[in-house]
Amino acid sequence: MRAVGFLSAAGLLGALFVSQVQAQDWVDFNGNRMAQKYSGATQITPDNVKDLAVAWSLNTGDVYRGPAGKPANSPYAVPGRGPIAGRTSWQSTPLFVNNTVYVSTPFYRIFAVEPDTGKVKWIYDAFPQHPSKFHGKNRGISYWAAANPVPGQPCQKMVFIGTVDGLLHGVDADTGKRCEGFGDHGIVNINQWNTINPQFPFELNQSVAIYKDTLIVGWAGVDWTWENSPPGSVFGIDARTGARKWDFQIIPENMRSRIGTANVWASMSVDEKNGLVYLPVSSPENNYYGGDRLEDIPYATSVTALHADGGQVAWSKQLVHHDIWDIDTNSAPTLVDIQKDGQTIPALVQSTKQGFLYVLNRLTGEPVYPMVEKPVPASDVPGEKASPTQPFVPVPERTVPDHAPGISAIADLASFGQCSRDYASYRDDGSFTPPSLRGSIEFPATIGGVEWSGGAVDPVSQTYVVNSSDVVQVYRLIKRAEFDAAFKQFQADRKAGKDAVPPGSPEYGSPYAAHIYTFLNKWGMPCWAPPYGTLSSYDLKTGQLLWKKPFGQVQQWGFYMPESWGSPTFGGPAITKSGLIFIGASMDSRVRAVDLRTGDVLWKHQVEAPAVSTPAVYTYKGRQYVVFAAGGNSIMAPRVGDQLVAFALPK
Amino acid sequence: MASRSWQGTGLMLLAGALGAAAGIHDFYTATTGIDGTGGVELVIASCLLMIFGALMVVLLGRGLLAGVFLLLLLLDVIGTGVAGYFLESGLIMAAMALAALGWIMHMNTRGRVA
Repeated sequence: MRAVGFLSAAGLLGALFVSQVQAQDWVDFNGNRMAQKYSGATQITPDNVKDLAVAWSLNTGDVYRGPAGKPANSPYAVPGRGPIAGRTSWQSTPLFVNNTVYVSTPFYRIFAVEPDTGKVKWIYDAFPQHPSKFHGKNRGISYWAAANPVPGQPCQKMVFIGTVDGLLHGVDADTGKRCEGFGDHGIVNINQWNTINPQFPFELNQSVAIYKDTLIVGWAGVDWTWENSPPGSVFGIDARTGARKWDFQIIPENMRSRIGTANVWASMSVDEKNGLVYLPVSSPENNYYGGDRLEDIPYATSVTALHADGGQVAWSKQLVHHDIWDIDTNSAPTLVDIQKDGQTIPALVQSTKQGFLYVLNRLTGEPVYPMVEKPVPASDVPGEKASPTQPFVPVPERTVPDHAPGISAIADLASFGQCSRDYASYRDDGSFTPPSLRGSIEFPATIGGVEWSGGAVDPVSQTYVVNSSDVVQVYRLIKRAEFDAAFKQFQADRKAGKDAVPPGSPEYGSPYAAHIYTFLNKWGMPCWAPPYGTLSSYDLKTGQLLWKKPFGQVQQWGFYMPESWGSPTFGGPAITKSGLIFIGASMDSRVRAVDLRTGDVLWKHQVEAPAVSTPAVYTYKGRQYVVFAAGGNSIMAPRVGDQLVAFALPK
Repeated sequence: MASRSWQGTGLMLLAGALGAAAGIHDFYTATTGIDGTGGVELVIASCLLMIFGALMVVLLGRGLLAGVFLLLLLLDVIGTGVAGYFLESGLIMAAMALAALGWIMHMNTRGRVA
């Protein structure tokens, strides 16, 4: 009987496991609530992926391509929308659930689309007009369904979208109509809780996390501008009514009036079984000078677990002490159970801009693979006191080298030695070199490392895949008086119609402003040696790197650079059970399928702009689809677009 | 022999026109990956110069200036071909292969006439 009982229990567990990993929906920005970006689909395989073709393609019309950087045209205007800050940035992963593909756009519209034809079912516009400038950026939407739906009642399934001015809209997933019972006629004003130094409205660019009937809402804002911007906070609200259930304040109470952000601007992940939500917490203001915040801010630049039903801290692990590099924890940690040393460990993998992959026990926060405090360089800026140590992770191997790559011979030659001369004038003491008045080499810097999409995991083989950028930037602090004079001149030049460039970011309220720029020569060529981006695979059971390859291609004036150079990447990978990785992310506006086992590119296809979001993988009526939002962002390349494109095998 | 010489320059003229057309197609088609780029503009310009150069060779016939134009045409073909390679445009590369063939044919007939 004991054996039978054991077998039954094993069978039940197995069935549960299978039902988890073989789900054919893509219900969340990160695939599922655990941020695994994994699909159990098996129709498209390494053998037949070469036959993949466009099944349907849709242009949403929600794109703004320029002009860029011309003061005479600023603020740029989008007809019917009003002023926009610049080119659009479409980082939204489509969802597939409720037999519908849902995607949000940089103009804050939701498109509900038939999954096999791309035909639009309905469009919801959350942002018909706005009085001030908007950023034209969107990172996704969320889907919620009542556990016990009331037949015949609307809004038993809802889609949530946020706007740049802090409004969270709840929409019926079947009809696209606002849910009247949610907040004020379908809208909750999250910005009503923006009460301390509201220098900007809370921007709801990212998807909200969902735990049972609770929405967990973070916000984005305007970085690098005010030291005393709104202090970081996260809200738990009722999915049906929009009523606030709880809030979590990130900055210590005695600092909130003078130090801002340390907010949660990226997506989050949820352990439904254990009732925990995981927050990637960003760095506080001033992003590059911490002399005004020498006290501990324990939750800043951390991964923090909250009890999702009450908002209490379960545990928190700070990943950068006294962050003065703006290396926010910037992606939802990936939750996965790891078999290690004969034990099953409920783990999470937190990718980071600094290239470390922190593998932690997700119930306790204890490292599965050790975190080692290592001495790092001291600051030479008056008033600053950099942390003497920072946490390093020897295993898994960092996604980027420990030190900035050397100078690119080609870029140096082409600029008649400019790269070498500039480098000699900067401070470079390796990882965590503090910003300085003469300029410090930062690698990786705020661009990363790994960006907001994080990695993907195959929970069966426990293989973790992540794309990472190798970008060198320079951080230079500017004394307040010097910056103010330069900024005044910039404003005068701009008023006179000159093509002026601001001297940096103001960081008002701080003794230092900051000038952050990528290390390029006069022709715009990177001054550091390639590769510029990689894709890596790790065995989480051992922490060992399985393979690491340059990924994507850099493009300049349309010319493709060699594949061995790779490309900086924004947007994450998705893994399928059949052993494929689907990923856009690269600067060359191509989407690719990669062999999970070897890292070889098996298929690629040109799309209208870089797909800077994670693709969604789903199966509908027996056919597997991979859908990409190809919208680009001007961080990486000027090309932006509005193409939603699905691929499938020929019928 | 004159007609065979025409075949070479004619091919270069055709290749220049095809290269320019390919460039215009690549420039205005959203999914070429090189649409709207300076690299394609460069190719279009170099293909138009190729047409001009080939016409000049026809008009000048023989002599030093014709030789200079032939040398410039060769550089144009190589440069545009390399640009096509880095733009990963099969159409542009094919057009330049045709142009190279025309140039070789022209030189071959020119040598034999001499």
